[in-house]
Amino acid sequence: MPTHDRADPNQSPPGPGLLARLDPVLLRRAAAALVRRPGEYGDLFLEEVRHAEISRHRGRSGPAVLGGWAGVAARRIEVGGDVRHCSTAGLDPETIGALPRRLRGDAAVGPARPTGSSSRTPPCEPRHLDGLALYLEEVEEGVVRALGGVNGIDLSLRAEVRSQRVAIATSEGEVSEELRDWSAFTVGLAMTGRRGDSPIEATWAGGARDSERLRALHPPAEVAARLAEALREADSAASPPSGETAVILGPGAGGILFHEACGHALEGDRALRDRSALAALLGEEVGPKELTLVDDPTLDGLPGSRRFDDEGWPAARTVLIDAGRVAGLLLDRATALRAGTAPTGSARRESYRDLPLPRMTNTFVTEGTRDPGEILAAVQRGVYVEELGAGRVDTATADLTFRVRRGSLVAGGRKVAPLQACAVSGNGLRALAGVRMIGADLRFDPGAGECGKEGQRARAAVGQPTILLEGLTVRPA
Amino acid sequence: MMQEAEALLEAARAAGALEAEVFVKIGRGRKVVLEPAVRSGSPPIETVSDSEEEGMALRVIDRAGRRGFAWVGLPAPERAGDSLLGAAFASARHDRGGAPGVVRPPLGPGPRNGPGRSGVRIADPECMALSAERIAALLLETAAGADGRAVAIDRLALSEAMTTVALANSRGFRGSYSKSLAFLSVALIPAEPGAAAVVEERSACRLADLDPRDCLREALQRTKPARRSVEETTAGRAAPLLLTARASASFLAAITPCALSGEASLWKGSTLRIVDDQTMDGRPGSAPFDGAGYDTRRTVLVGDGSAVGRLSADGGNFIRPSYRDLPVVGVAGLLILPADSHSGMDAGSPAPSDDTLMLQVSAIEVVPGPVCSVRIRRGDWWSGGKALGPADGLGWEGPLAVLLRGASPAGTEVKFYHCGAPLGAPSLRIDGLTPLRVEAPGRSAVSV
Repeated sequence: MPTHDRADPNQSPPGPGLLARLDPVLLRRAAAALVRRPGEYGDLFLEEVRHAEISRHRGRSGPAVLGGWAGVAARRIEVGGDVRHCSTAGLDPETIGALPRRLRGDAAVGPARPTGSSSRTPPCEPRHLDGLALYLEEVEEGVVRALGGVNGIDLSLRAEVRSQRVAIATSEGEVSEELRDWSAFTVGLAMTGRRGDSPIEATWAGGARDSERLRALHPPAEVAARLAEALREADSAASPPSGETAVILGPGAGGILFHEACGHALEGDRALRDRSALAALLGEEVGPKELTLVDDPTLDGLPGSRRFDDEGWPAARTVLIDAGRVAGLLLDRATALRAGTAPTGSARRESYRDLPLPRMTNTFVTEGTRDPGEILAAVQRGVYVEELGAGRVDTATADLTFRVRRGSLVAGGRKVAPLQACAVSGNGLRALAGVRMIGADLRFDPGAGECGKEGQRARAAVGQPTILLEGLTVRPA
Repeated sequence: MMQEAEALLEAARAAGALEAEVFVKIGRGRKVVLEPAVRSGSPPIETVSDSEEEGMALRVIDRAGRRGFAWVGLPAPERAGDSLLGAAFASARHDRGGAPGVVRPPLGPGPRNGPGRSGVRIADPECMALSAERIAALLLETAAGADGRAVAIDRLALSEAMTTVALANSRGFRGSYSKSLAFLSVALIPAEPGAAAVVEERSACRLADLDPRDCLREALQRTKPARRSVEETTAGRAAPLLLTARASASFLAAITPCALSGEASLWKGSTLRIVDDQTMDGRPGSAPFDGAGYDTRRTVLVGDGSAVGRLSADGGNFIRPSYRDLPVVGVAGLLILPADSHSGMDAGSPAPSDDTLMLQVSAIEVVPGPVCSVRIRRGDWWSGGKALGPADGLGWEGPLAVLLRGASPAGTEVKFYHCGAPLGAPSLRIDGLTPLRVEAPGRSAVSV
């Protein structure tokens, strides 16, 4: 790899970046000192995070929280694949300079308080809270207007900003820096339905790179109107069918299914340990020719977007399923070493305290050619999923279950009634083989999605056009 | 650490805080992970990770009675004091206050009048004394206990950490303690195609209190493929279920929400006694004071056939895993209390020689709900002192209250596990269920 610095000219944050405060030569020297022999790889991961969150419930405040941390981790991947890793709070030059000795075990583990100049990190950013609070107030007012009051309605709102600045220096001489900001909100409504037997609920969530874009992409009045509409739909919902039936995943609605069932199954750490039924079919046909699934961190403005991964490898589009055939795995450096190939730029870590894992970023089914109306018209009896909720997939067996948050009953080629809470389940391999039609209307989720893996959370986007699937079972939840 | 906290408290008071609280946490840890399944026939991939962390949090109540919270994770966090102070007051500006007419509690207690729970033993002086190489060797010894033909060891992980917590508030409370934590995780992949992977975990304050062999044995037990159940002589007959302590832990993990709900009617007739205990020696959830500074306590949640207590915000039940978290009311160490004396019929005891039909259960799945379901993942029928055959896959469905009423402690000793959270249980006996024959292998029928 060429040796150069990759600063971040397009996303200039307030205040100097890490590479402006820390000498890249020092970072390069420290990263080079992490390795002991040819064939080893080492990197430094430096991170500065500012966090703000605010919540409201039934008109009362939850806690408003401001926080921030700064820390650095050093790692060495040895020739046989063994890994040594250490992390510590702080970004002072002396802390960083001591990491190679600590990784070798020459320096004792123990808090290493800097003796020189203190960290210049301003750890908290109060202005973040002001924007969030205003946004939530406007959503709340909108909901009150849209519903004509909130008596008897349990309204909860939460929003957060996370501003993460990372710098990575590798033993190969690469030094990179990037600012990754994301703002997100969730609003929930619950009330006793007109049948009075059980509560009905509606939720809406969204995200964007900053609070200005959040407001532009998810205008408070629109969020409130959609929530009110979702709540009314829930109150007039019909019982779901029970049994195997045709399922239409509305655009963006079912991306989580492909994320969980295909994306996780094709992450290198699972796939290379025989824990993935889908990865075992690498190179084989699992779906129709129209079906292509990709992971692409290079797309602009999505929660998983980045210029390089958390090992400094350039971000790149990875085709996971190509024209129905299992085509690729998501690999970080450690799993690429095991696979004997190059990384795919898929390393992610929640913070400097965590080891990188191969993970998805923005994962989506590419557009097909069908008109969405044509797909709906093709279904005589089935379920149209407007929004898919939490789910569970066993990658070893490909068995899956997902909750349908919002959906409609389909009869005679049209939506006839909103659906009560239900779940779809089945086997992922069977579902892929059961893909019948793919629309030309790719859409991503609203941007509030988080993925969890081995205790680490990461922002991720999912997307898909309208898709007609057979082979899934629907049942009341 | 306490000096730093004092300085920040003073600064908060000078800035106009009616109340303030400083929470400091410093920790260091080591984790060793072996992944034998990655390189078949070669030594496992080994990952060693050392970590250190320091952080400080400040809670304030400003002059208008509004509450604010801010935290910072840095070495020498007191150097960020000004920023932390400004952030906490900025946070308070967004507080709309509590519910009308409800007096909000103070941030914490005043000075202690006595030693409180300072005697609780939660710090192991030997913590982190073992080298990474020795820990890896310990894990390899554990791995040797698995039969490679039936199961592959996916991952073995052992971690240790030592943390020190200090808390000071403007009402005069001052406290600090150190706590060690050890955590073991065993992940197995059964050789049987399509079988689900199994993770078995243990946690304690002392590494020596973890039992890797027992952890592996339980994990292996759970990976065994389901056997076809014996139905001819047993179908439709009521029989007590005798749960091993491990199966009882699964039962407790499943019914935890019921124990916390305070719903008295669920427990009518039950002889179970369930407590949340932050005062036990050697347990990960124990501490001399809780996340807000109140003396920790044992809270009896269920007893005398009723829900007799709840975790409360009055003090003693606050948990605070990190300086980044606000203190919240939560479970610290849940356990079912053992029987006062041995019942004579217990999953760990020899089966009685009379004709009593019973079911020894070593793995169970319980899904509570309006219609609760129980599924025996591994069990055996016994009668006349002899094993009659497997009961794997048998099930029961019915009202949750029937299940809870039928459950009683059988063993006189509590064993500790980590089922998503640390918890403890003795072996249990459940009466009043009629496990039904299966309609097809692995599928249970609905019972009365």
